[in-house]
Amino acid sequence: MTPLRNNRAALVGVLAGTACALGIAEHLVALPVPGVRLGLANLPVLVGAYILPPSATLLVAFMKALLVPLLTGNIVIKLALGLPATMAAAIVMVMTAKLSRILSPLSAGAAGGFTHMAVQLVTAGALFVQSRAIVAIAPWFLSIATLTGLVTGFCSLMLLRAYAKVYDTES
Amino acid sequence: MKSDRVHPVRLLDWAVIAALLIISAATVLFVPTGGERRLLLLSPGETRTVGFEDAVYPFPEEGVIIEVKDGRARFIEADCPDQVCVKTGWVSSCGQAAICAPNRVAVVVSCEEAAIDAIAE
Repeated sequence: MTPLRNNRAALVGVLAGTACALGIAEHLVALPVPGVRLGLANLPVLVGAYILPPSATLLVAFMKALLVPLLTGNIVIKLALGLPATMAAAIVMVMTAKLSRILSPLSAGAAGGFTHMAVQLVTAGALFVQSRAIVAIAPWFLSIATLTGLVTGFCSLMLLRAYAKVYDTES
Repeated sequence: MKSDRVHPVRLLDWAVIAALLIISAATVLFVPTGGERRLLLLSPGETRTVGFEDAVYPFPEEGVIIEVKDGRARFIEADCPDQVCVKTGWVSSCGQAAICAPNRVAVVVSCEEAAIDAIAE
């Protein structure tokens, strides 16, 4: 952590930028089910949760949630659905990262994905779709989100190990 | 430092992941079954909305008979040549329909289903 203490602002920028790039790339990948994303854009947030202080991590998440909709269109709906979900997921991931003595980033990723989807479904239910359809899709969407979150967790696990190798730190 | 000692995967991880998946699957318990389904009986003169109680709805002028039984509906008889509606068989889930085009009669299962695709982008 020490080598980066003075570069925190830069690191926030790099992570937020990566998140935006991934978010846009992800936007181009069509998945069979609408509303489901791979969640790769959460990867930098998850990495941030382990190498940045909580406030900086939340800043990364906030910038990602703000910029990706701005750059990919359909701003209002994406902001309304994505911002609360992204922030909630970021908070959960930061908390899980604090428990790194008993939980690895795998859990953080899965919990983040789950939270993101759960909050998104609740928001969508409250704001847009007054329907039982939301409940009907919830089991599938939540399971998929947990699994894609697991993938994100695995990626960040690899990244964090590589990071530790480079900086030879105990993060 | 050996890099795989950083962030080792713990046993508790699998417990957390399993718990999340179980919670996800458990939300299936909250899915309401049936309830607000209605049957729309469409004929040239009128549109009737009926429930799923067992009943037989004859349409003498159009020459068809619709039967509702065990939460499902079907055409039991139609005097049209192709019998498409009768061959459609039972309809029961949201959006399903059996239609007799020549006689201009249809039975549609209507649910309070909002269009998910409207916001799903």
